[in-house]
Amino acid sequence: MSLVDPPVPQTSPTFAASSSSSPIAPGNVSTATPAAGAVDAAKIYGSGDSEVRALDGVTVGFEAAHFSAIMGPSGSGKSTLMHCLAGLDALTSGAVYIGDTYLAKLNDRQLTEFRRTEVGFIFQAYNLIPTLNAYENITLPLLLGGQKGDQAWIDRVVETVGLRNRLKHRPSELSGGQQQRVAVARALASKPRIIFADEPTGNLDSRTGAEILDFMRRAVNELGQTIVMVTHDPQAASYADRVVFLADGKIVDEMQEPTAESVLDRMKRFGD
Amino acid sequence: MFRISLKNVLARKARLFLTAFAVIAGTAFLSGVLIFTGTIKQSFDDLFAKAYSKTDAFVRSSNKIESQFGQAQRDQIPDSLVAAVRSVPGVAEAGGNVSGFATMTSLTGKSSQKASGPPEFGGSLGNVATTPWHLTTGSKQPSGGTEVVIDKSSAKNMGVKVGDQINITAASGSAKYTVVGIATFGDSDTSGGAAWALFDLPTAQKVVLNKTGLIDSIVVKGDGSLTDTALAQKIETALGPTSQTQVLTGAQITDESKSAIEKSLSFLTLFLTIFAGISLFVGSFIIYNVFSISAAQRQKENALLRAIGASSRQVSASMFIEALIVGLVGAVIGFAAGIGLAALITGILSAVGFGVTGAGLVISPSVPVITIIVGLVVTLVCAIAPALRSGRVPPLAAMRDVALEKGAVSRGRVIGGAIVVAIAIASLITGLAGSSAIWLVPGVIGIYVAFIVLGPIIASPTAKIVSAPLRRFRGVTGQIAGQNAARNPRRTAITAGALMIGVSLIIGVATVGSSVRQSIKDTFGKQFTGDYSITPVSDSGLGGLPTALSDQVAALPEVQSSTGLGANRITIDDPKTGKGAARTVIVVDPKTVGNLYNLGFTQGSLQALTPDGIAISSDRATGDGLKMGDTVNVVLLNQAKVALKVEGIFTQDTLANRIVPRDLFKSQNSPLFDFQIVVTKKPGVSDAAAFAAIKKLTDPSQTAKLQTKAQYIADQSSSIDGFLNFIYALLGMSIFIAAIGIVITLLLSVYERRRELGLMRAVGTTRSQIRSSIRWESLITSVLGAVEGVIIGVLLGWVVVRALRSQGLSSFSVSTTAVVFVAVMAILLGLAAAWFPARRASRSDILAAIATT
Repeated sequence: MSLVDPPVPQTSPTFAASSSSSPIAPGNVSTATPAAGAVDAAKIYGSGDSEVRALDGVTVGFEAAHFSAIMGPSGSGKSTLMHCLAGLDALTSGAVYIGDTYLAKLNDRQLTEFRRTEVGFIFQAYNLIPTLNAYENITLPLLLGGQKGDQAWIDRVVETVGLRNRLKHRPSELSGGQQQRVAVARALASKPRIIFADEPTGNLDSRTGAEILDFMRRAVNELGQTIVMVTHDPQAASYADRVVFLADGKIVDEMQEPTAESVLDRMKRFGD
Repeated sequence: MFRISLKNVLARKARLFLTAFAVIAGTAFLSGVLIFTGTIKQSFDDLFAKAYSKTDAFVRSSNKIESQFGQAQRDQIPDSLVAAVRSVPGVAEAGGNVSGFATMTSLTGKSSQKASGPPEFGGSLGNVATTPWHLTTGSKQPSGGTEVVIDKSSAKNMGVKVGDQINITAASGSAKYTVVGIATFGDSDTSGGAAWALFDLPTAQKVVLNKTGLIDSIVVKGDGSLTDTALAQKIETALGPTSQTQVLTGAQITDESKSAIEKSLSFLTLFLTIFAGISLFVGSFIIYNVFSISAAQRQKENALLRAIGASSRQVSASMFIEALIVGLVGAVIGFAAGIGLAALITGILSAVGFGVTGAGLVISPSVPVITIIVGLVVTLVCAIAPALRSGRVPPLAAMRDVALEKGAVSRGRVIGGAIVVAIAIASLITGLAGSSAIWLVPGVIGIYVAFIVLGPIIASPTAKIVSAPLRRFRGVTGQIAGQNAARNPRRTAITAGALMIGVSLIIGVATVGSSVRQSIKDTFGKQFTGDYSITPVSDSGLGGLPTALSDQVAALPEVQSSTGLGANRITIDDPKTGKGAARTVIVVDPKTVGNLYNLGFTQGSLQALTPDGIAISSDRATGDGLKMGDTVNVVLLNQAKVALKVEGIFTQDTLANRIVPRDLFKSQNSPLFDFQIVVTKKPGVSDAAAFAAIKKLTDPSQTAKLQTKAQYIADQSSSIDGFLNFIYALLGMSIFIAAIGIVITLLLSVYERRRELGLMRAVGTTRSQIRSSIRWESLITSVLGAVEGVIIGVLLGWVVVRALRSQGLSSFSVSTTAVVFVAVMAILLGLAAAWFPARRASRSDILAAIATT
């Protein structure tokens, strides 16, 4: 695929100066080869006095086959970071990459195809196309590319999320938890390089939420999937291998093997 | 509540514009029609005011035959009356006038008219004191048998200047004349678009009337000593009742001419208004749809209003006020757009030679009033159901996610639809069984209502069937398009229904047209047994070919026989009531008619008609209770009463119901014309030789068209094409509005589905896939409308053809051209309508879609 490019500097002069030969970001991240990451990423809205720096020089990497969480108080830039990482939004400066691909190198069509094949999404709400049934929603990215997909894999995914007898139902005939499970299955179905989840349990009660997070955890453990999740819920973050904390558009901290308590403690300090 | 409505309207300018657009499109047509006909009427009023500006009194024959359209046909009066009028005290000047049909062509064959349509006249120029014509510089009064003055417009069209020769064909035959002058009518190039060849009075009498000593009217100018009324009375007294004349004042003749033209224009106005009504009706579908959709989209907002204490009535009222604003804005813009439309129509008309209008458009104050009232009423009526529905929204809906519009089809709709279908079919059967054709009207309307009521029921499965193959070769994009078209069956059905109406009318008209064409081909093929036909190049009124022409053709050595066919109007007494009514009769020459026409005589024949005989179609004979030998009392234009004997009964009545011999009119002053001459060649003479010989005779006049039998039949069967094209153009407006409806509905749907579209984009749908899915959805809607329209249109055509079977419409033929045209048009329309919504959809903001608030 022509999408694989050498790590040529894009927009960031800082990055050009570093002239590193692989997209391994320096700084406060782990040492394993990241599945995706950002280098000196900045996202600025407005200009002059009304300038808002949603992302202010973020450099971060997310490991493959890991479950990572991005946390921070509201307005910290965590959603913006995820949108930019997933290619849904463009940076003002700096670069984001998934695998060997710098997203800024892609035009709209290439980026769309890249999202379809390499990225999976789970949103907080409005995850499903109302006119398609559960199975069609799960296989939508594959259908869009005109592919059949790996039937055995799809069966396994469907089995894992426990939707076998709900496949012919439309989203309106499914409960909120079931809808979110369909969304998880869809994200997994095309075997993407990485899945981004944006507050996936935000609309669910805690029991259903725990169920979804459990599925995501198992997808990482059993299927080797890479997942990056944005959340403000310490309980949800505790399912992750690692938590990155964001405040005022900057990475301020990170935590390995988090628990709900440790995350909550860390979060409380943002109030100071 | 009014402030909330106003804010609502202003906050959503795009929606206001979209809704108003449907109102604008509907009312613009109406306003354009009203302005156009008003302008024509005004220009004719000006024309008559000009024509009679120097007339104080007007003398004409009191013998007449009424006509349904325009002025009555009047007898001529002797020109000796001019001297009698001139000697009446108070008369300053009196001049005899003659006018009739006359066709001019330049020696190179150029016509005096840019397009066939406006009439061509010949007449007397009249004296300077009374004529409305002004001679341009370099012109002189025509005098003697070879001089003519022509109107400036004809001079331009023929490329003729003073001193040139032209051909003129009138009742007397064809001859060359020298143009000695060019005249303007007041300050216009000619009077009302007509062409005029103007002679001195004796020449006009000879050329135009083919008689001497007769005139049509006398124009009188008073010396100023009497009022016009007194003058007219004085002349009437002087002439006496025996003269069989009628004397009018200048004002009376002007008013009479005006009201006559008004009568014929009112038909045009009604005709055009019907089409404006159709457009408005189609537009009302769109207006209703927009309000429905916006009510559904605002469900949450309205529920919130209800939750914080607005009453159900207030919510409905807010919607109504919004409709009021939209209707008002739309109708005002529609009125303005109508001015443009009227300017466009008159511009096109004058470009193709129908320059009937004077300077500028005439906009009477009633036009904006009517347009705005109609626009407002239609908009408000369309808003009733959506407004009531908004009011019924439960406050709790504010807490829920907005549900999709209910797709389910109610039982009431199914039952109601079934009842309408049953009534419609029953009416149609009753009507076609022959009890009364009036039953067909509720039948046809019922079919439309049934399609509209049952539309949502049909829409869903049809959309799925249409999209089934799409899924095969367009994959998930096609599937989503199909399901989107099926998800709001009511919305899709109404959008398609708007298109259905226009398409069905086009197909219905095309079916009737093609059946008429087929019938003409069939019956003319049977009735017309000659080898050649000669018809006038321009076919205005009852005029045409001089009656002498057929004898000249018959005299050719290559020709076996030749006969002329004319038409005239006489008053015929109804055999049951004894009351007279003006009827058109076909005039034949029994001496020459031979076997040139085969009308299927069961008794008697055309050849055997005596001067006091009449032949009647079998249907007419049955209707009037007449049989061979019975007496039919008729009155001619000159008030001569004649008792005609039924001497023939025939079955082929396409041509006419009553046929009389030419000799019946021997005593009449008005000239006779033939509208067709039928010729057979001598056996053994080659086709080419015979054709060339006749052509040599007819060609110099440039006014007669020679055709072989095959050419003539083809020409006749396409004679309705111009009229059909005119109707298609008018119906095109409703198709255009329906296409706008598809655009609006798609745009609103795209707006409604913006989150879904953003999500599609997020999970990897390319922009072109989004565009293609909207395009397919649009295509499904337009094809649905076209299919419904074709079905109902063919049915409509069939019903009309069946109903007119007794009128000689013997064949039923569906126009494949029209069906193919509609199919192609529907596809192009669907694609074109989707262009903008598809663009909008493909630019859906992904981030806005996944935002949780």
